[in-house]
Amino acid sequence: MYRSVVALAALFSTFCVAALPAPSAAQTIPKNPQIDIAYVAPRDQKYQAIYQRLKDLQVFEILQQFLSPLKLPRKIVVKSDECGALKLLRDTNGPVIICYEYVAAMEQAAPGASVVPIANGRITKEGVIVGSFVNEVLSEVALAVFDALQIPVWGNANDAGDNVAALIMSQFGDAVAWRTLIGTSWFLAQRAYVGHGTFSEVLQSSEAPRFYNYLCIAYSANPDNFSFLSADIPKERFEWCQNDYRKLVRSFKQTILPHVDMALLEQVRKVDWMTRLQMTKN
Amino acid sequence: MRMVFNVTALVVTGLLIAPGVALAQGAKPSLPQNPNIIIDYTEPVDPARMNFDPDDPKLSADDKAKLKKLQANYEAMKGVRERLMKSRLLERYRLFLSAVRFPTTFRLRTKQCDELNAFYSSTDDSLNLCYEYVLSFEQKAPNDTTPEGITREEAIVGSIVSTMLHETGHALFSMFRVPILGREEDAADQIAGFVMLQFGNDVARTTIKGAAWKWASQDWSDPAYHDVHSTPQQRFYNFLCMAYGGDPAGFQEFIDKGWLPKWRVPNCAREYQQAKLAFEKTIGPHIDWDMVKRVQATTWLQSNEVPPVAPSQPQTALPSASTPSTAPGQPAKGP
Repeated sequence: MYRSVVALAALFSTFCVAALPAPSAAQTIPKNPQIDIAYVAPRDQKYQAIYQRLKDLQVFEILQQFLSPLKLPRKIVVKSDECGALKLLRDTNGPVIICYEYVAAMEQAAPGASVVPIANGRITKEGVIVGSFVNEVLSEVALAVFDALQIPVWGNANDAGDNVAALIMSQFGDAVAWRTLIGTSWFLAQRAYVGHGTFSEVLQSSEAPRFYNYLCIAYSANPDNFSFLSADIPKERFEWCQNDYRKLVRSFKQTILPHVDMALLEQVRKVDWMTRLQMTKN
Repeated sequence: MRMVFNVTALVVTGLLIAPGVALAQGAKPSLPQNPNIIIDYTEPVDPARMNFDPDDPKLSADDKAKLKKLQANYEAMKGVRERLMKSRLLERYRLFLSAVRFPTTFRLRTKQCDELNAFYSSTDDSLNLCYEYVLSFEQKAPNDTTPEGITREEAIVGSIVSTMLHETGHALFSMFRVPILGREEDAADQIAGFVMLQFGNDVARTTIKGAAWKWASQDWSDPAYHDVHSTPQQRFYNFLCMAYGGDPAGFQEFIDKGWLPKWRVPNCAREYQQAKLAFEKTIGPHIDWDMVKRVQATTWLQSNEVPPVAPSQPQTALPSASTPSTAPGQPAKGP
């Protein structure tokens, strides 16, 4: 367990360093002052390593920088905690809580030491953990952002959080998209088909529809890179993917983008994400 | 079958959106026609127009059987169309939508589709309700009130109304370029459920319970998780949750009877508020709110035909929280 967590932490560290600007560039990007963070020490010792690593790696501090272009009218608290369940139903206007249990589940769902070749890429244990962790954070933060900005949300709110997370992950270069979207898809595929949890675990809709949502967005955002996914998406769904994606992009522009500092976003975008992530893959 | 048709005609005529009847009773003022809505009860396809002679000796037995089947289907579709026309379904639905400021012409159409379906088409901004789908509602609805208190009237009216509202949701999303961050099919169900709750207790109870019936009466055993729609099971719970979230006291029975799992309950109020906010922000600007008050003041259900409150301790045949994955007593296959 500990070794796995260390592996997770090491990889996540690599990802975070890679995914964010080089030190000099990163220094020019301020932290979002409206995002408060906390790492809550777990009561159960088995989550201690995860807690310590997330804290040491300053994952939420990185998030504060990543979300710096977002103009929020009030504070959002993001924290990691032991939840007693995989996920918690967030109170309206309450903090975003990333549960150590869920991070542990990502690790369990990831492939073993072997590398799983897929299309022109590969799936690794670390890749799945990093990808699904980044997705989880962005998805949960999206829900808090909806509340803070009073964004009109049609459809299941959790699906909306997923969609926004997936869309963001698809906009920062091919390597980021690969790692996060494919990592998340792998995680959800394992979660969808391997057993069932407690009621707390199924607060969100079944993981299987989420799995197909991610495949659909990944493919639609970049059909060239993710053409192999067309084999995994049943035809009757596949034919809707592109249209749904276009609607999602339009909806994002209508609702979220007006609250984004475009100048700051430009700074974030100037960072060479792809090169960094390629270094990670090598 | 004959009895089914007669009962259905009564149901659709009497229960669904009946301002004309209310006006005749002097109860409410009339509503204006929405000038941007066109209605059309499209004729089903008459197999006679294919110019085959069923008595032609050159026809094979197989072809003759096909012709016979086509003719029987044609008669069935004609029957549905006549019942819908007699009920003035589309005329009434047009009145119901009188408060919506459509930017283009919205076409309400009933038609033969050769499939169990209803759909919105953005190519001509049309809502298409298929005769086959309506017939399936009629055929699936219980002949007698179910043990848990779902009446035949609720089942049929709720199925038709929820279907039309769902497709109208798609139309509104498309015409007003409404942002949808979740899944559009869920959003269309949300708008249907939300609207059902805005027209008084009788309309809410009849349509919500009927909509729940629609999804409970589908096959839950092999869900298509890849589909753009949520599974029938999820859609069933979503309607119940929306209703309970909007009116906890009015729909307490959903909890008492175990239809809505307890773990889902705490989020229902939030789900309702989410839909309310979304409606107000994205659809609201396109609504004539003074007209809405008139629509809300209209009697849409005739009081003498509003189903009574369900008995308190029925034997359940609808899904209960203790059986979340499969619904006992369901028909083998649904549309």
